[in-house]
Amino acid sequence: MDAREAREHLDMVDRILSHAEAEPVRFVPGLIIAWGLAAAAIDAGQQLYFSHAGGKHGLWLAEGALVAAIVYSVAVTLSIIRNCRYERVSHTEVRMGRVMGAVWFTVLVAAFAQPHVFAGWGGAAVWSMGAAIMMLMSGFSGDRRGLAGGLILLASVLAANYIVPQSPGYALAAGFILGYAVPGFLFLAHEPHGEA
Amino acid sequence: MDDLLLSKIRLGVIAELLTAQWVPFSDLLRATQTTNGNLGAHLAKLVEAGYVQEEKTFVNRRPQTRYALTQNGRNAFVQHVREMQALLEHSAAS
Repeated sequence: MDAREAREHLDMVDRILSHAEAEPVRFVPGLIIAWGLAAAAIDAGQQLYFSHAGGKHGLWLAEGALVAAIVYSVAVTLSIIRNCRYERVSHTEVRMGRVMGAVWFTVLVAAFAQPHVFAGWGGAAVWSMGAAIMMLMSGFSGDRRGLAGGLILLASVLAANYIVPQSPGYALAAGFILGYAVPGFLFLAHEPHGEA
Repeated sequence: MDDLLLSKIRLGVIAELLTAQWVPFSDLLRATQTTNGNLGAHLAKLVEAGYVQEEKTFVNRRPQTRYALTQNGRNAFVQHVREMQALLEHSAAS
C-alpha cells in the first residue's frame, strides 16, 4: 500500500465514522404520541375529579387512558423487538435507549413515592419532568422539535405552580399535549418509512 | 498492515460495523455499493478471520443475515488505521 492509497482508505473511514456521529436520536413516534395523549388525559382526568367537575368520569378517563397506553406500548415494544433484529442498531441508539430506560425507571419508582414524598400534584409533575428530560436529550443533540417539547414541558410545570395553581392538572395536561404529543406527530411526519 | 483490511470494501465494512451493534446485509450492501456476491465473499473472509460475527434468521420465510464487529475485528481495525496513519506521516516527512 502506498501513501495515496492509505489516504484514500483513511478518508473513507473518516466519512463513514463522521456520518454515524451525525445520526439524530430516533424516537418511536407512536409511543411518544400515545403517552403524550395518555398523560394529558390522566392529568386532566384527575383535575376534573379533584375539581368535582365531572364526578368519577375524570378518574375513568385517567384509568382508561393509562390502560390504553400500556396495552399499545406493549404491542409496539414487541414489534420493535422483532423488527430490530433486521434493522441497523447504532451504538448511539443503544446508549440513548439505556439513558431513557434509566429516566423512566426512576420516574416509575418516584411514582410509588406518593403521597408522602411527592405529595399532591408532585407525582404528576415527576412524569412531566421525565418527559422533559427525554425531549431535551434529543433537543441538546440538535433536534429543535425535542428542544421545544422539553422547554414546553418544563414551562407547563412552572405554569402549574405559578400561573394556575388552582388547576395545575390542566397546565400539566397542556404541557404533555404541546410538548410531547405534538413533537411526536412531528417525528412521525419526518420518519423515513412513516412507521409508528 | 493487516492483509485482510487492505481491501477497501472489507475496511469499509469494518468501519460501518464499528458504528453499530448489528448491521443487516442489505445496509452493508448500500454502504459499500458493491454486488451481492462480492460483498458476500468479502464478509465470508471477515467471518472466517473472526473479525465479524454473523447471525442468520428468517423473516417472512426469507433468509436475513446481520453482522456485528468482534473484539478481534475492532483491535485489527485500530491497529491497521494506526499503521496507515504512520505510513502517511512517514511519507510526508520524507
